[in-house]
Amino acid sequence: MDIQIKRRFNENELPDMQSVVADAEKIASGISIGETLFMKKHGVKSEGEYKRKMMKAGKITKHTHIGWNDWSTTEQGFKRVYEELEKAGSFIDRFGVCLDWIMGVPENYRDKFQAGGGLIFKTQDEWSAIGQVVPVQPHLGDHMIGSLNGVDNTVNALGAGVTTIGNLAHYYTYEYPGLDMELYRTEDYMKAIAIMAHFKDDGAIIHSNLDDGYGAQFHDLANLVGWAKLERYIAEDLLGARVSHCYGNLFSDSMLRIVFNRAMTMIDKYDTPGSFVNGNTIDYGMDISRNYGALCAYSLADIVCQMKYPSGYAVAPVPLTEAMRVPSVEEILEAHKTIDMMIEKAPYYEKFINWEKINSEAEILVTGGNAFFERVINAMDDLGIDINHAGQVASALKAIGAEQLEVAFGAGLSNKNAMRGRIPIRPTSIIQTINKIRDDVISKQRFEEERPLTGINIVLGSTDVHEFGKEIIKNVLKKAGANVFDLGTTVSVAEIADTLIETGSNVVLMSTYNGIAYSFGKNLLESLKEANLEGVHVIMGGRLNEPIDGSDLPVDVSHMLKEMGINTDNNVETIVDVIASFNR
Amino acid sequence: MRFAVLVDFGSTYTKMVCVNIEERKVVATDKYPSTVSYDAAIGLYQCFDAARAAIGDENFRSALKLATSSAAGGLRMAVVGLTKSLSIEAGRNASFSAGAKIVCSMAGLISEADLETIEGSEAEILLLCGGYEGGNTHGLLHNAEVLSESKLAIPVIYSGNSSVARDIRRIFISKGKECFLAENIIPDVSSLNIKPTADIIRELFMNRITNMKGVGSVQKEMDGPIVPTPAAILSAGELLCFGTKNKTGMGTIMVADIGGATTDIYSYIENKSFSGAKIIGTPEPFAKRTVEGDMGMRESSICLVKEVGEKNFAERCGISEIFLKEAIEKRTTFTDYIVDDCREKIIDHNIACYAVNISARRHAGYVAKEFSSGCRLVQRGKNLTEIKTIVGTGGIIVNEDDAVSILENVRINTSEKGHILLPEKINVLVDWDYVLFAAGLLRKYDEEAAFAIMERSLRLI
Repeated sequence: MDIQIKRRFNENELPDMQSVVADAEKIASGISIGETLFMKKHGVKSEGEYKRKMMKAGKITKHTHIGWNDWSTTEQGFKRVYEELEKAGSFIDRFGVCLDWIMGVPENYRDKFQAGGGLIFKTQDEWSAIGQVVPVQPHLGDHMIGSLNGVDNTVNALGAGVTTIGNLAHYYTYEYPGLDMELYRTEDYMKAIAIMAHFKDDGAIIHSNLDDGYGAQFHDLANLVGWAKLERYIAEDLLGARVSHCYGNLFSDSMLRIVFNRAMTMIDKYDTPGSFVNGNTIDYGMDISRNYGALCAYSLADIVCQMKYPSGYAVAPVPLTEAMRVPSVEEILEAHKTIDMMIEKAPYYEKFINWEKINSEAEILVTGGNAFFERVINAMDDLGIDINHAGQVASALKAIGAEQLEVAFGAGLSNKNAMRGRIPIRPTSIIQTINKIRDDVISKQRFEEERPLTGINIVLGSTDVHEFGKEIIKNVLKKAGANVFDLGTTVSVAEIADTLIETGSNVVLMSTYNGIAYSFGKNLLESLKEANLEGVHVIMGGRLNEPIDGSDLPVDVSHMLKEMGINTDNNVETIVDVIASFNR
Repeated sequence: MRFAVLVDFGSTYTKMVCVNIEERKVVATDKYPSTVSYDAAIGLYQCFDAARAAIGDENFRSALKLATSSAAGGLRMAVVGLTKSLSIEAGRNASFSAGAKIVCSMAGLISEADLETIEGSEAEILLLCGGYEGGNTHGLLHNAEVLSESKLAIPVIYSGNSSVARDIRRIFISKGKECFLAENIIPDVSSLNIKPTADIIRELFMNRITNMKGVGSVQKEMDGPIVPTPAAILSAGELLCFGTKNKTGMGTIMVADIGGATTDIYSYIENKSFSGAKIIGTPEPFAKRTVEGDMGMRESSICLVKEVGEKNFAERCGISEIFLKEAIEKRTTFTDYIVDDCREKIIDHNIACYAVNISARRHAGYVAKEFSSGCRLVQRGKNLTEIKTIVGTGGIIVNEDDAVSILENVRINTSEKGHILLPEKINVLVDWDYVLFAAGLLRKYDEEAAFAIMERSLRLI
């Protein structure tokens, strides 16, 4: 198939690997890793060293994210969380600290932008304070490596004694609006990784949160494993650093969390301790009781896994209010105490878990991941990308994009009707959920024999990048006998009328999510009128909202769409009847 | 065989390029006033005599002999599809890539009035297309019925939704019209399949239509079928872009061929989204040709000046409108007119500049913000912003003192940036020896030789 590469610069303009590494070495030679209170307390030179000790001792470690806006609140928060946990006989090993986005921008560009009100460090002293409040090891994830300011931030963080630094994944998905400096960014990315490589024997570990990057965009977990290998290939094989892959936000199936942890360990050649496993936040909602159940379910799995196969990953107690607000100190403590109880109870489970099955599942993912990895690397070689140049590989992967990688090189079996043209070896939690909804809907419909939409042509699409709703509907319509023409995602109004004509359809279904339902519907009807297609039935579903009358908040617009004659039932269970009635 | 004799039958000249294949060199070139309107063989024998004189009897006898033809402005086609952005665009791409010129295109359900337009267009082949596989049938059957009732006596190619292909063929045949079937040109959303249609068009051109008298005796002298000149140039440009086994190609290029009646633009680049814009419409072919029938140095200079505006054009040349009018009349009446003074030279130069400027802008894609709330950039057509080189070919370019400034007209100006998808900077090369057609013919037999003669003509070696 044709690979569309959305290049933002010519990768041949990148400096060669040797000069990048030489620059990095020069910078690294001026750095000495600082000592945090935590290192002093535990007599270690890095967090990695501490993790290795804990793995040997069979001790579970814990991680908490801190997202307060200014330094004094953060400092107070550090103290209170640490002290209150000590008082309660509990513990915490590491804080994940979120920096303001402007920290990801080189200093000489910052005055052009409005900072986001998060943490900003200006001097080395301000940076160093991060490890000098309480003996809890700081971790820096976002707006570090992979931002536009990776080298500076890495130098400062190492100087402050932070030895686990993120976030490889950030390079692929986070954009700094108004700063299109992709060439600069890629060079900075390589250099920051090379600086971390210089300190690998001192315990420097690069963290990458798969769920933040392209990882979240894959449908097949095997490809996600292959993707992790690609990130390792760039940072470890080409630049000599050590990598730890974080995951968890999007893993709703508790056992899958264990399987995936095993797979991550299997692809790690250097036994690098993990940073942390993030909490399963897709199951968090507005109902605290249910969130409580989710916290227990995922943390138990993460703990049992670390007991059986210690891999250094800290467990993350996510406060129950996380989906609603920035959690208070009390809410952080509450989650920790919950997890402490899970740590107590986990050993009862460990013995009865079928570890053989878990390991064989993990091996399936790794085998698929290897296939994906090999295909991607070979294809890049064929496309003329220098596969021994870290920057060329990273920028090409970014320019190709997760979806194309998965469609073209995915490990799953090709199947014309499958989403992205392949049946996943093991679907991600999101895909599992979608498949379940689809199967439920289809099983409720009693048209197996009659297939009420036989001979009916339908055009389908989504107004934005969201494709899950569209996929469910497509499956239902096909099952009902319809001939579905899929325009894919980010469909433009301008292409619908002509497609209706070429397909001979008089029904168009648009799924929408991004708050443009009203304008899209209105423009669509206008364009249909222009093309003399007034008889076409328009159905819209998904999130039918849009900010109206200059307000910022999107409001429900389904009644307005309905007044214009658009079907807004938004009900997958009745959609077949509705379409059948058009043609009666 | 050591030599190749390659001939192009144009409406003004019959041109000859003689190549030493082993040495990969052009050994002789010549041209003679065209004889296609009464007996093409006369011009051919003049060319052959010149070749024989250059390489000797024996070499001539064993030489590979091939020809292209662009006589009478080339192959004229009409395209009838269902929508402008999908089936018509795909049909145009297929026709252009086969070397044809579109004289008429119609979208949607055609009426009696439309039929008159088609009948009046003097098309030589009609392409009927539209409908994805399993898609529209009603519009196709309607159009076939209407067309079958017409006075048209030209072959019809059907490359639409295959589910009604047989019905459509029956409709035409029952009215005594020839109908050829090709695979669906747009089988599904976002897929394009122009090759089967283009092959049939070329086939028909070779066997039926070459618009020249004496084609039979010419064909007998040749070792291969007579090819439409643009089809040969399209192939030559592709070779320049990709290179050969031993030679690296030039990468993303464009070719401009400015003739008396038409200006052809060719581009060789994979269509990519500009700045993340959503690409809509039918997919763009890698090697794309377009031809502008109203952009030329002679016959169509009148249309070109009209498009630019007489006043505008005269001002730009620093001449009066009356003088311009006379100058253009001269060009349309005597199409073999050769400029004889400096004011005429300026006029020719400006016609050429506008021909390149306008034709390139019609060939290229463009982007526009289309849906306010989504603030989405929509791209129609082919993104040529990363084209690195333009190659000029054709008489005017070779005879011009300032070919570079003519060809640089493909570049966008500041106001077009981020809207029209043409490059900001471009290298200019000129086909000084007029060998592109010859290289296109020779490519099938010896790629290395074909590539080398182009390199020489472009003064790269």
